[in-house]
Amino acid sequence: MDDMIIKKDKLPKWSSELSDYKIFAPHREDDVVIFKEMKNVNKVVLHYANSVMPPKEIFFPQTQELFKYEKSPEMKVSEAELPLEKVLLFGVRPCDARSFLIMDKLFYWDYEDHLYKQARDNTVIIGLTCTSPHHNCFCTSVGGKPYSNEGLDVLMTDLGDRYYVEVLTEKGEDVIRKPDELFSKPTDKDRKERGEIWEKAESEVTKNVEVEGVHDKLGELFESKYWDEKSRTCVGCGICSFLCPTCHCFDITDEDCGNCGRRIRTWDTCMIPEYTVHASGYNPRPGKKNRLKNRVFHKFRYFPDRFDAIACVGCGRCISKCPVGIDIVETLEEVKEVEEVEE
Amino acid sequence: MSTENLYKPHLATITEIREEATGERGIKTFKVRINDDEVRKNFKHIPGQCAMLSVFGVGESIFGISSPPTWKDFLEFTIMRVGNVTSALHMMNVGDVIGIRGPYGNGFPMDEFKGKNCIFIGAGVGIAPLRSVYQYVLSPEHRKEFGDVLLIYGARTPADLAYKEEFEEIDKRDDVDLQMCIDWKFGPEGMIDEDAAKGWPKIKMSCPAETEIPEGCNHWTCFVPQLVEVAAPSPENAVALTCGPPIAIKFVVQNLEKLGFSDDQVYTTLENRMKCGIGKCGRCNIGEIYVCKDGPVFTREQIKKMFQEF
Repeated sequence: MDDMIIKKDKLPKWSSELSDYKIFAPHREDDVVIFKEMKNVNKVVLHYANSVMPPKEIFFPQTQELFKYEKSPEMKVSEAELPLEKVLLFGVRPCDARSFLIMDKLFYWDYEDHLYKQARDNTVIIGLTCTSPHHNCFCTSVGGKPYSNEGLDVLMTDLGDRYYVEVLTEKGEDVIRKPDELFSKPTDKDRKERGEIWEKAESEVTKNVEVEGVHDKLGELFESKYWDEKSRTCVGCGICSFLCPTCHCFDITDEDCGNCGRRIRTWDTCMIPEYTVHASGYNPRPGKKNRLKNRVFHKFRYFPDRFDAIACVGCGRCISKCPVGIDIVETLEEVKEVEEVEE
Repeated sequence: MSTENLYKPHLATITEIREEATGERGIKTFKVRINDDEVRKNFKHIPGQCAMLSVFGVGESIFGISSPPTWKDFLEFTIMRVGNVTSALHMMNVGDVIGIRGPYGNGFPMDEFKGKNCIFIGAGVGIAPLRSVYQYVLSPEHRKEFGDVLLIYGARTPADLAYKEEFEEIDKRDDVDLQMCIDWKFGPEGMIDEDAAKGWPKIKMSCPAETEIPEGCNHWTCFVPQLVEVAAPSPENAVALTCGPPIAIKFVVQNLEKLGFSDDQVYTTLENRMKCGIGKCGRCNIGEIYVCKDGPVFTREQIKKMFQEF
């Protein structure tokens, strides 16, 4: 499908044409931007750096039912309800869209996770080019761009009073309704303007780190004292992983109500000791240093080794929200500088 | 590729419970029969593979399957009482229904073992995953495919030894060399309660290989690694499989090395906390390896290459 232009004042009309979709879009609540179901198109926030939480929960909810059980002498187990409705995820930043492709690798390797896949297949993703990156953004260091279209079905770029619309997939074509009435053809001026905005946005991503070589250097630093030093201030709260668009670890527990109950999966974090402790009490990652190290290694060595992709999209949330200011970019810079002293 | 609900277990009924060891950390063997005929028929495992067992309302844990695939229509799990799920299992009775999903993991490469002498070294509850292998090797269907069998097993006290009746049967066979030991009261002082250790002569700690062996004796008081030294299996055309507490494995492996076993001849199993068993939930990783999928069986050669965090 050819590129298109939609005037901003036509957004309400466009959204009303999409009533067969459950639409999730950025909203401002308690002074932060979050993704939530759109009830009124005028409440949608269109100017924001990024949402405080990544939109990963559309595909991988914080709590998700795996199945129900009924206790009787013979026991009964029944399927969890699958999320069947069509979802439109609007206003996703390109970094977060790339995170979906990274999550796909994990959830689709070997066994295809049916719950994740169901939600993923039913969702159309419309991205919004980043026009004013946050000071902690570093997408360009890990293979992204403020206007990257990877993982998106549609990419829109704000040109002031109108959006430049690129339809990237068949799924994306489905959300272009009434093209003659709502959309118009882009002019050369539109294209030029879009190019300028892209260029400007990219130049505004000033935080950066050269990740080339980090993988191999980490291999030399597994036993390094550096991790003792680095983890000293870590309080093990796990916010870095809960807010990470590529963190995917989960716990499985039973929610029991006497005669019946359900098994659920919930987000987990590798930053707490309970994550790895054996029933015997033995813990292969007993200290903060082991856990912080594992997180960095997982993003920049283990995941690349296993799935051929860095498990970081440079959204900067872990940097912004860490209560003690541990900065992954700074960490990687230090990793590159650390010199191991033979003892 | 499958799109079914992989987290939903099949229902299974406990048909027999055998108490293997008593005490705070008691061990019981559960014989389990999957309820659905189709599912039961299709549940085919390789020795060394694992399965997730559910106690509904309590949770789910992963266990090595301790019965060989040659035993049809049921599975056995030998389980020590250590946590929530294992405690709940220990409270259950014959006829109770649990959940099961699997089999998971790689299992032992039985085809690669064909034609070779097999040495099994189990310490404590580590005998459970090995049992699925040696019972496979010793089964009438497969015995001819393998060479000599040496089976070494040790526990803390005579009361802690599992599968007692089974070992009595194995002891009667002339196609397997069984060596067992207890380390009861074999403390730093070297004190032994002579009565309890009757019939279990002490192996000389300072130089185990010099211990005088009474005619026909195969019950000892010593640690498993020392018994390996005494039994001194030849590495020629052999594989050694060892499971048990990390400290026992460490010294067993050292002694195997002394006997000339190369790293690719020594197999062991690793364990880590697991939730999903299918390579998604994240926590069982050692480096880029998922123990649940790539393991639990690894050669010493593979283990040496890993980041040492287990």
